[in-house]
Amino acid sequence: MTRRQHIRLAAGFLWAARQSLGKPNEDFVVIVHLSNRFDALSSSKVSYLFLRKVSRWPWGAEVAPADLSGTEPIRKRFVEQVLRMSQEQLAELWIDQRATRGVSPPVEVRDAAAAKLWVAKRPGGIAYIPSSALDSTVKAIRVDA
Amino acid sequence: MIHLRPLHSIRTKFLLVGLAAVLLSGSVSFFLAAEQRRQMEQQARSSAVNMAKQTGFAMAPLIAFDSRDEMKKALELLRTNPDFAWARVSGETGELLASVGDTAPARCDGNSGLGLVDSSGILLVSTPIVDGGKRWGCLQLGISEARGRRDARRLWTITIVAALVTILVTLICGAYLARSIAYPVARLADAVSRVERGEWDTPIDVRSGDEIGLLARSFRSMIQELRRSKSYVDDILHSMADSLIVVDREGKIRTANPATYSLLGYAETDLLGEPIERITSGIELLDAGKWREEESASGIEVEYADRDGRKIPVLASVARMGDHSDTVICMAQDLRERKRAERELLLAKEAAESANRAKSVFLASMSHEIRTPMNAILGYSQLMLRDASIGPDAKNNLNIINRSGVHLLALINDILDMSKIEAGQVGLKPARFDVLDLVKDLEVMFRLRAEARSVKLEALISPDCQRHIEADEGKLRQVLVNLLGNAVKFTERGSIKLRISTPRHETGQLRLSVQVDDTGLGIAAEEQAGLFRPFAQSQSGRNLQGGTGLGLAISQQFVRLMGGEIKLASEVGKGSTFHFEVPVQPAGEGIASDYRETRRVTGLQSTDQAPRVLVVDDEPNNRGWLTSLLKIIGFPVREAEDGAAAIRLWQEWKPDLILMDVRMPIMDGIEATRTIRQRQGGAETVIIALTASAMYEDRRVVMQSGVNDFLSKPCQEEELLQKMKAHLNLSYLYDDVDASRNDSGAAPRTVPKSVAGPKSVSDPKPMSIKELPPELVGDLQLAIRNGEKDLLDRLIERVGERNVAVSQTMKDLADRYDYDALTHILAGAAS
Repeated sequence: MTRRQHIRLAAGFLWAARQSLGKPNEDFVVIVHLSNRFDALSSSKVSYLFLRKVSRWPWGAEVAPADLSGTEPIRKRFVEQVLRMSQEQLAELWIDQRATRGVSPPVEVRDAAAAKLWVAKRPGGIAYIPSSALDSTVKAIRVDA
Repeated sequence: MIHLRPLHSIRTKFLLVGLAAVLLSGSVSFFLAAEQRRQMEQQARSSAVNMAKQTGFAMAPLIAFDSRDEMKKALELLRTNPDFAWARVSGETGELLASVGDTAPARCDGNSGLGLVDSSGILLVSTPIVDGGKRWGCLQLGISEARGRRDARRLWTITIVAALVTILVTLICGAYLARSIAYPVARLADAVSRVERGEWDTPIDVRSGDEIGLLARSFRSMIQELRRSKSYVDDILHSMADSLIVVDREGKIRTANPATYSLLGYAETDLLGEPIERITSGIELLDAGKWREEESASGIEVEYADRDGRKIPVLASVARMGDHSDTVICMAQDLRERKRAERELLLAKEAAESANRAKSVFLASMSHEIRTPMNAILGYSQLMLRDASIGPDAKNNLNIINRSGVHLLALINDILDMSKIEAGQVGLKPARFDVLDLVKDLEVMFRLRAEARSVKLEALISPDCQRHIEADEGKLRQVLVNLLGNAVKFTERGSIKLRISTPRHETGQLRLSVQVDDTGLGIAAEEQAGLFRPFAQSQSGRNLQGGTGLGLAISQQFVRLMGGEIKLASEVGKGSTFHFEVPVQPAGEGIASDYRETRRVTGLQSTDQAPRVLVVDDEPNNRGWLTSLLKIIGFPVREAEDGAAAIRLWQEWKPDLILMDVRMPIMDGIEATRTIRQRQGGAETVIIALTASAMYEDRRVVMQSGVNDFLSKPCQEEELLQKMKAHLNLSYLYDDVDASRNDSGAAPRTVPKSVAGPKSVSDPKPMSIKELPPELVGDLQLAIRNGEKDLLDRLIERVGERNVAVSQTMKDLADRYDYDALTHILAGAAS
């Protein structure tokens, strides 16, 4: 990760924090496997997981993030509020990451059901779904500012 | 001469340049190496910092999830860097999270920066791990600098080796250049300086194909050329016969050629550096102070002093030397020989002049001394011829005496004429005269002589010839007598023609043209040119003897004086033609038809009182003759023996005419005349001076004394009587014509054989032949009769012991086998 990307990332975080302060996370919820030990995570840690900067959970499970497809309206809100960047910046970031570190972007899933399935099946899985779609197959964690 | 060792030799210069190059390249290498090292170090450090930062970024999420294995794994990845020594990650509070490598140094204080290298050569890099505005921890890296140091050492080694190699190569190149340039140049310089010292034979053995070899070759040929031109100049100096000295500004001799040394007697090089005053001080240009004034001078006669101080006269020329204007070159020619010749010439000239003076004195006194006795001889012989009591035989003898005297007088006159001509004392005395008279005289003079030899003499006068003309009759007569005399002498048969005419020149000038033709021996062409020179006679003239050899020379001089030139046309065996033309003045009308008889004065026509005549002469014979002559004619005559007596008699007797001798003791004629002229009545007396001096100068002195006229001694009767007639206005009685004719006609019959020999042209004087002893003559005659040429030659040689002229003539005849002529001569001797 380059310094520029860091700066952008930092700028994104600041912006997202301000946004989140003004608006409650009503619309989406971050989900993990039922066995996951965390109940809450800071947004920066969430973004490390989604941006594949950490490959394993502290207890050794491999981090397996899943991203909703670009057509879902909720994706925009997640990217802006948690990852604190625009969708275009994210796309750029991934192109960069793939080129420099050989790291591919998270798997894209079609909808909330597919995301829940992806997380339910993997101990290190992590994704986000609309709040309305939350069920017991997955564990929702709180995202702190 | 100093041996030149250059202060900054080419070798030193090469060395300096090489050292400079080495220093420069060394320092540049050093600088480059240091720079390289610095960059390498910097690069190593910045790459270490970069490595730390990148690793730090990756560490933030791992610290966030406390993934220590992941951290260790990430740190292990750093081992791929060869310089990696160790790494450690500490947490937010400084607790160790993960570490790789064997060292665990001081804890990380959380500040970023480069730490110092510890003793083991490890570079410590620490950087905080910050992400998303949160400080997660601290990363520390240990980077070994061993590799960099190794690289730096290698770099230094390479640099030093390169510098050493450069120095070595430079030294080698320098040595080579020194050897191939500096050494030959030094040898060349050495050789040239030796040549400069005069060692012309110094070899220049620098052999090289480069520019120095070319230079050496040029020097060689230049020195050769110098040597050639030096030897050329040396040759000139050595072969000069005159002395040559070069003097420098200080007046010191710088060069002197061998001729100078031999002239002055010094040994070679003795004079070099000596002051010029040691040789000469007479040449101004050579004096040190006079340098700038003159450029050159020549023809100066000065004296050189030789080694022993003797003076040698020389003719010197001095000139400044072209480019070396403070150097003077002086050439001198030995004048001793010339001076000696000049002295001798001067002596010879003085001797010649004194001889000439002696000749003049001799001639003057001779003319006087010979003429004085001749006066008596001629006078008395003429007087005796008048004596009726003398018989015809005696008269004949007297005639011979008279004619011989006349001839002798003529000879003396010839010689005098010639000397006068040579002295330039001859002037023209033009007078009116009758051409016909002259021709008649000449005809009478030569006819009988010619006819005696069966030669016809004709005088052809052109019909329109002017009878009276004004010219110097005396000289004309002399010329004609000479020409006719020659013609008669050299003509044996045929005729002699005298042609006279008076043509007018195209300018209107009247001229007298005279031509004498003969059919005589002729004159060879090669002899014609010299014929008019004094004492030059043709071969036939010499054979004939007689004559002075002056006749034609005098004639030519006279004709030239009169404004003409005698021309000769002649052919051997056919005859000769002499011709001349002189300008004359017409004097009266009429052309010749009659001629005057030469008559003898017998008495005075006038019955009046006869004029009284006083004869003054210190010589009694002369007085006697004149007194007798004048008394016969009828003049009252008295005598005086000197000037003083003459004045006394003039006063008491009052003569009408005085015949005054010039040279007399007590009082001479000139003073007596002056005295008489100064006295009362002295102007009325006619005075005729008698002088034996023939010199024109003398006559002028005589005329200036106041005489009315003068006569040359010896006086001719006719001339004397004519002058008296003119001055006293007299008339004479004459005897008959025949007597006169007999008188003049007698001459040819009685002329001695020597003047007109009867037979052979080459007759020697009979008198000489007669001197020969009769036995010799008999032997000669016998030898001729027997045709014994050898004997005859020997006999003629014996004749030569007695008389060279006779023997020469006889030898000429014998060589021509003209035995008839020889017999004739010998017959004359025997008779």
